[in-house]
Amino acid sequence: MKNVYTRLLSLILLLALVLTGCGQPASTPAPQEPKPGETPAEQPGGPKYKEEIVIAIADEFTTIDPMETTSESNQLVQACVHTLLTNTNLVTMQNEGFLVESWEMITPDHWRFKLKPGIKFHDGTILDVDDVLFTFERGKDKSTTSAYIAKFKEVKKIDDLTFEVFLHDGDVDFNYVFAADSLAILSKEAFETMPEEEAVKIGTGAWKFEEFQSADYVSLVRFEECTLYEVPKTKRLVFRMIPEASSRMIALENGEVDAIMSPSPTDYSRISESEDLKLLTVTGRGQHFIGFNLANKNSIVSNPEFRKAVAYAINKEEMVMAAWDGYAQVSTSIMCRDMEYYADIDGIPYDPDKAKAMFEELGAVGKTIKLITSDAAHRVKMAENFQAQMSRYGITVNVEFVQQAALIERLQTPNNSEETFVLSWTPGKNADYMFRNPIHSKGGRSFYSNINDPEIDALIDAAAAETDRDKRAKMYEDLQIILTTEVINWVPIAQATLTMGAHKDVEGILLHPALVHQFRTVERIIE
Amino acid sequence: MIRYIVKRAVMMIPVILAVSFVVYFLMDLAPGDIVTSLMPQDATEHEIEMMREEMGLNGPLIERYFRYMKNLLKGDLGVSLSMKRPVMEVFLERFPNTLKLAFWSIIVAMIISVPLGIAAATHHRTWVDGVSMIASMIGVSMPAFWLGILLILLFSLKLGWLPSGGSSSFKSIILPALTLGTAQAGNLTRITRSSMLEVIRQDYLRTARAKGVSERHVIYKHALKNALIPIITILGSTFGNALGGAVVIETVFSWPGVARLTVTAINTRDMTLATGCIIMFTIFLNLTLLLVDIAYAYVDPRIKAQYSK
Repeated sequence: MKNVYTRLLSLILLLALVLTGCGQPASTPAPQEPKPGETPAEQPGGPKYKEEIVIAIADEFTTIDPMETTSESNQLVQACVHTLLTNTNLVTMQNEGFLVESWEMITPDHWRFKLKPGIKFHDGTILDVDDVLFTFERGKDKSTTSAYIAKFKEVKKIDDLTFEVFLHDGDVDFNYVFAADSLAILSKEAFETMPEEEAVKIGTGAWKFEEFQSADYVSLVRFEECTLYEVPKTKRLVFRMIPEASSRMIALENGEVDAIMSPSPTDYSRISESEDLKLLTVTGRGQHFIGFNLANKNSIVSNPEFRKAVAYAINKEEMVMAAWDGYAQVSTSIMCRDMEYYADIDGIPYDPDKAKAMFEELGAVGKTIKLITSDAAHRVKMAENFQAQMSRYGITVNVEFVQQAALIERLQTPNNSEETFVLSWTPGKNADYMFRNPIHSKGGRSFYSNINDPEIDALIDAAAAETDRDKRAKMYEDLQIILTTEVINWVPIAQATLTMGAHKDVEGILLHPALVHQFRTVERIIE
Repeated sequence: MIRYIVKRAVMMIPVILAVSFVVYFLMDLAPGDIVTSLMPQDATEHEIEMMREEMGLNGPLIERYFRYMKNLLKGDLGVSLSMKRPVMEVFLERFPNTLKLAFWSIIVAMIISVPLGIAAATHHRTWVDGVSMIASMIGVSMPAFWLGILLILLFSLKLGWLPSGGSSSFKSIILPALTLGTAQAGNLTRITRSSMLEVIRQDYLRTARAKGVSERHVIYKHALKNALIPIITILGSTFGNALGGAVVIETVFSWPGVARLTVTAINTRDMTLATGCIIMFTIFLNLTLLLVDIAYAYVDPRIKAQYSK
């Protein structure tokens, strides 16, 4: 018996040794543990910078290939390594040339682009039009890019740095297409000389891909020969995956990480009041709203007067306090504030007396409507607050919470019997995107309100084709007024504040309203 | 004995088939669509259809299931719909971490529960017994995520001794293993106590005491060996519980294991990844139970004799 136990004990110890050895390679560098004595980056005569910055992200990074996924955590890292032809300048919020020096709309269906000269890829090759053409060719069959490439009738190389695009249909906002994150330009030569999984790591960004440990961290090193941007002062940038908000907060407080994505709203004041930390904020582009299914003719929500009464009835300030603890900007228009052509319209103001009178006139008092939404914390709170507010007018709201995937499936089911829903819409980068996908009957997923209004479709199409800026601005203003105050497919509630927590001396993080924050110049002075 | 092992291995086949069938069909029945989960909000119908085609989700369910099973027989678990990587590769990359966590949590559980269970049994109906049972109840009842956060606050934030998460060094596993182990220890303490209580009332121990053998010798030399036999039996299921409990722990401690991966796959409706992970879990759990049975046969001469016949 003694021998048996000795053997079992030996076996357990052996297993322990084996298991301790497996999982992570012994040479794996620690993502970040505070290194008090570390050598700062050399900056003669200037301040000393921390060599490694660690950012805690909530979701998993899975791939550096920009054409594979469109998840925010992937795009965040991809944007450090790869560069787009055009993109939003996060300071001016305008669409500007990143890899392109200039562009010209010859006609709405014929565009000319000129690349910046001497841009170096991480493999040392210089960017030219062949790389652009190669990227478009690769994107033809990828689900994330095929719709963009399908717009092209022909792409013609004029010289090494100039190319022209001929479109099937005119698009006065075509420069925004090149700002799609999945259309980052890849190196043709890298794909010809390396395996695909290595070639996708080669970009023109300020950071070079270094290492990826699945579900743990992804590390980048600064691109010393970067010709497109200034070389970062930080040597290494690590994105550590910490799914739990409270764990991210603790990691920030104890110095394991320098900044955290999406802190819990309950920690906002803790971060703001801390002497060592700061809260970075930007109004997000996501428009959160109470939506109506206009196609449900059996429901009172199909009556525009009822929808208008609901719009008068909702105290948006109260809902913002309930759902985001005040960290959101109340919306008056269905269009998102940071977008070009946003018109600062009054919308439908909070007027409980008017709402009450309208509900009574419509015979809505005592009625029950149903609302469906996902189990995301802010949506749950929005739904509960909506339920509470409507009960003050004698209207019962039955709320159903489901998983996001189930919610989308329910709302997409043809002829569904849903009445109201809590959802949000984060549009792409131009005004046409804002309206076409959620509103236009042939737009995209039609965003579940099922408007199907030919006049609105025509207005969206006309605005997209208008080359005169002033006329176009008027069209988008009209669209906002019609949709927000007459059609009322959504009652826009608020654009939530996007946040990051960071150590006080971390600089250079630019927050993006659609979450693809920029870390090109992130640095932390330590002396 | 070899016949027994082969028999047990063959019995795993219907279990795996049943599990794969249930998981695959349940995943399909669950509301929600992987394609709409993965595509951006502004994706067009064309992009969505293209993605569906790319993922091979356009055929009838039964056809897809048989194709999946055919590939499974060749050891191919398919490609993750969300990660676009072979499921086997992703699983094998993460599984050692979960295994490591489950193993160390059991070690922690044993270190806590065996002495506590012995103390409770040998001091039956005294304050020691009471304290041990209250402690085990607390261990069973305390939510793992809450204990995890408390431990992080104490050891990582206040004392700064241990990292709050990740898997970069051996220090990283201490808090997750302690959290998961404490939850397992509650049950193990109760089983050790009852097993020990049963053994210490046996005649052969009374005889040993009558012969003048010291109490310490009686307990640790004679009683413990026999009391541990049932504990070994439940170690297999405890290991399974540890794998299941790892979901919460892996999230709280950012531990890059396979349990979190499976839950993420279910939430995003990544059918191939979720099914693949669950099938691999099933195989591993069956193998663990088999190993426990073999170990049981080795430590209990009566069972060994039964197999010899």
